[in-house]
Amino acid sequence: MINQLEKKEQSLATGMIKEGLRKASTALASILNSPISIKKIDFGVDSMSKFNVADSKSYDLLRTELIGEIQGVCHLIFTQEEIRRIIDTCLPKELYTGAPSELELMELEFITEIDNMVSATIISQFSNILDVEMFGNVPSLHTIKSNEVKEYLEAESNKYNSTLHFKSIFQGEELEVSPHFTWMVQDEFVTKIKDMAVLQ
Amino acid sequence: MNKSALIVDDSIYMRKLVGKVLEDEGYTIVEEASTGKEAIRLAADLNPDIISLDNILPDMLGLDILDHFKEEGSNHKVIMVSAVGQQRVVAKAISKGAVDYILKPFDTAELSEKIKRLENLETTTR
Repeated sequence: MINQLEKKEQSLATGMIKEGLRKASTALASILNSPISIKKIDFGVDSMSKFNVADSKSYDLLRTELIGEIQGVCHLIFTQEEIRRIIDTCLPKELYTGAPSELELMELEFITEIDNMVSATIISQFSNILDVEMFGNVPSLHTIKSNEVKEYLEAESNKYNSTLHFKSIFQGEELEVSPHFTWMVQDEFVTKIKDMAVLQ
Repeated sequence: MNKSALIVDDSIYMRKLVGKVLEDEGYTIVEEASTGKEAIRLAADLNPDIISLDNILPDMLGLDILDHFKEEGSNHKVIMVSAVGQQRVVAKAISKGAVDYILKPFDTAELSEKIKRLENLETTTR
């Protein structure tokens, strides 16, 4: 869809998305207390499917639904090994006070909170620049096998009837993590970009 | 006298993190809430010295809770602690009575500093 925009509109959209992703990588680095860079940014629905399914790993998809004037969904995707490494390295031990069941909940909500904070940076970027009211809903975690990821993301795209798709791969060398961050956004985004281009 | 705090956030991780900072600043965490309904009830029952309030809760927005406090005439001291960084939301929160707005992810030293500053401000305006 981004290729169907006029040159000026395309430049506005990609600039805003890239800046949002830069802020998202900074937020992720801050939460994990470890450097994170952007390895790759892809646009287009095909970018969603470019997922390594040759392995037999399980993936944890952190899902945030976008609500408000611009709707859609985003996913921060880690392997389960990466999630374990993040919990072991980055969750402050002094916060554990309760029973083992509380520890399990704490780990889960630490991970979903990471998604909440990272996705909020892009949502804020869209909201501030396009002057729209939008929020990320409470995030949820879905564990699926690598060979199901593509199908899952395609179903999400169909469910939201999304027209704008982009994906970033982050890289954290110290922590050995490279999460995928996928975005599927409905038509309203394009309308707002066109409105903004007219005003500039 | 001990200062009391109520922490409102749907994430137990965030409640514990904010709670640790407040405890280090001399507050007693009297209660934690993970929903808006609980927050409203506990704020009325306990009348804490400070409330740390997230914006996106499973049943309502933090902004709606600020509206509720305003409507019932209670003057709770609320610090918003949220990942929602939209300028319009921050402005709304302040206009609805929040004394500060802290963006997640935050540095714990920054949160401590803001709490201290808030107390100093109160002392000088008293």
